[in-house]
Amino acid sequence: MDFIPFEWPAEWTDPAALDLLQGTPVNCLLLEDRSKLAALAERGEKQGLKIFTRNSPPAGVHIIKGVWPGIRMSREQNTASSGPTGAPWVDSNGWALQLARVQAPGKSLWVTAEPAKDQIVRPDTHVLAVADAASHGGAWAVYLAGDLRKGVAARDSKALDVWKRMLDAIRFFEQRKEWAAYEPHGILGVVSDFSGGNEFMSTEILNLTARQNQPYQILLKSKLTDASLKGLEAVIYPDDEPPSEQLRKRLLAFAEAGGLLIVSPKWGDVTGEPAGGDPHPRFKVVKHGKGRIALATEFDDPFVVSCDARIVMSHRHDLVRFWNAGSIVAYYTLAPGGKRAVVHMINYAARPGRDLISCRIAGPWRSARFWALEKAGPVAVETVRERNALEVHLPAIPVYGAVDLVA
Amino acid sequence: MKPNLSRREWIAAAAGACLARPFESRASNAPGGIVSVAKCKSYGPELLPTLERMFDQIGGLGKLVKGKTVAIKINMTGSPTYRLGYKPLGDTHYTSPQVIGATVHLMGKAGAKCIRLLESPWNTADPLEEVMLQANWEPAVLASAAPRVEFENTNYLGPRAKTYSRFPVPKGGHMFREYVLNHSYEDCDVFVSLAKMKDHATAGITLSMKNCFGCTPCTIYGDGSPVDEPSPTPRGGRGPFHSGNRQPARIAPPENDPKSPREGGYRVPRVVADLVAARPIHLAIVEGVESMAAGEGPWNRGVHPVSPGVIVVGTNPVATDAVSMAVMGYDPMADRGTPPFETCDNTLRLAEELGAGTRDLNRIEVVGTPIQEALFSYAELRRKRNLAARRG
Repeated sequence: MDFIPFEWPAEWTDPAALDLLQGTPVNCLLLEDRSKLAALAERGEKQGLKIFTRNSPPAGVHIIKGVWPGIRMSREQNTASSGPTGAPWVDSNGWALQLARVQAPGKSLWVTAEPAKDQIVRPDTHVLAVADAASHGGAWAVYLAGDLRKGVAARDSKALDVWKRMLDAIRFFEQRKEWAAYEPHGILGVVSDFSGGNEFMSTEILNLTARQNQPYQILLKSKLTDASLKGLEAVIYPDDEPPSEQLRKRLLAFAEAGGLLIVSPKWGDVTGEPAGGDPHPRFKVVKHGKGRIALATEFDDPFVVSCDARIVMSHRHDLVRFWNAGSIVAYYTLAPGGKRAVVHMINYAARPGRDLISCRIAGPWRSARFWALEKAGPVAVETVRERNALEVHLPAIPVYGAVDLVA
Repeated sequence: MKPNLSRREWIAAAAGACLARPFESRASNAPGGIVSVAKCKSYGPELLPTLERMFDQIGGLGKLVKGKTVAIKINMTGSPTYRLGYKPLGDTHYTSPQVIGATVHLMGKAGAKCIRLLESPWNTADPLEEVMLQANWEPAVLASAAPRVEFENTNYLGPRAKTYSRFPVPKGGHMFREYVLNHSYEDCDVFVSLAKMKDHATAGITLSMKNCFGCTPCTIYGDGSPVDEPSPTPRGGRGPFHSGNRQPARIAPPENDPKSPREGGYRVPRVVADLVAARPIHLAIVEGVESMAAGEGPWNRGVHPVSPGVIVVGTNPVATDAVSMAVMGYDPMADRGTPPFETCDNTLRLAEELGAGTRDLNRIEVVGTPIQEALFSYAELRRKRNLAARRG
């Protein structure tokens, strides 16, 4: 059974509050303390709900303690805080879900997140939280923040509108469960153990690489095989220790065969003829067989590393290229067999931008449809065929949309 | 260019020649030359022969570029990820890549030794080719349009240079006595401004001269440049030129008059005129095959795509811009307070004062399509916008 979890507010002690869940896709409650809500739990079970406590989720579920998704707002000015680029700082659980998918294969992935105490929470970020998790193959344990919780309890019409849209978003993904089986598509691999002293840099590279709309594949050092490198144009080895001899050999073979290997200073020096093009201020780039090795000379800031990696690799290999996308982050997935794809587009601003969005999606695609949370059926979109890519002209994306592609 | 002078000597000589006379007399005697106008309705097959014919009409490319290193300043204003609607950037506010490719090809055919495409893209020290790719251009196509084509991001020192180049302005300049630029503006025999025909929110119009505003590196002149040394990478835009809120990094001289107006409509046209006088343009190309009106980029309020279907080419930037203005339905002799200079000074007049050329249409030989036949009235569009604005 697929659970749709809801973190039941502790102060909603009246079992009658369960009426809110009648006819909704929510089928599972997470309680803080069952003993304090015994009557409610009993009624819930009679209503067909599964009841769990936060500390003992059902077997087969892997919980990610995530972040409240969205653009980080500054309380002082009620404006977006800036990230390292000067662009708004985006909080997303996408990278953590992708990582969990690799680290805990076969498990159902739940994201639990609540806003920080002083965080400004716009109601629409509840819809965003659903889309952020579900698009990456997980489920957000519904959590009603602050004012929305009070508003829903009081049956305030504005709050109930957000509640309804949030439930509609859950239904949207429930109706497209096959998408969750699609595999992430990326031509950049990130190889690490993503733990210990390597955790911060490696996971931040995932987070910030995604923020640049650079899709990637996560490769665990311990499970890396030659097959895992197939189809990749480049691999980053960000770890703060030299690779094992076997791993080094495998990654060098990848470069030898024509790939780009981007390595942290801990890899050790690299020798060879300088690769063509202008010298890079933070990389020593040498030819290696048919490929290249880029040795970082500075490797402190994961944002700089992820930006640099994209340039060393070149925008020529962009799988997703947006115009006027604002804070939209794409997640590119391929159906088994590779004849279909879905590019999820999550707008972390949770409000539509003022400019029309277009997106170039690399691949053998001949047609595209657009799915919006707000529409029951697909939306026709204008496309422009390019060599090995399809440019799609998109409608406004208030929170989430998906481009469904056919080869 | 006299072959026995070095590039540095030539630039200094050009500046010195201007210094020798006062503003007014130079204005009246400033060069006009020949300006070619042509209709060109699309970036399709008609583009290359049209450009070739135009270059022939102004004396031929061979005389200008054979055996020379040519630097072409293109216009890629704003972020490459910001479009006007769904339109490709080259159809609205960037110089069209097709026009760039055709120009490069013709220069190669005319015997140019090396052709270097220059631009200072928004807020980055990434290679220019990478910025082009983000704009959905294929730089490999441009690189293969002639035997030796190079690209340089001029918004910083550059990947190989050791020092910036200095460009003194004739007569001490309107705003600055000297500009400090990427070496590529000095390391060339022929300098070309390949611009888009557009309105401009601050300067009224942006044509071959205003295109050169983007020659300035934001590592020195930008919002985020340090007080002392230039920053290694550019941060932000050229706000200080607009507002005068700060002086450039100390590698460059401060503005001549710290009490001058802190107003973009005063400052930007003067900076542009200075730059054109300091770094003379040998070939000005203004392409308006497809473009936009009401501003220079999608960030301006009320902008919309237009299809003027016209190209203007000349060896003098002031004259070329004057003819371009006339093609746009504007009066190049207009001064502050009249369209398109409602809130700014006329860059052409300021450049004329520095001896960079004439804006007097009576002194310019226009060849090819007569102006009236090529007319695409930005002025009329502007009049309607202004009228609508007054009606609220």
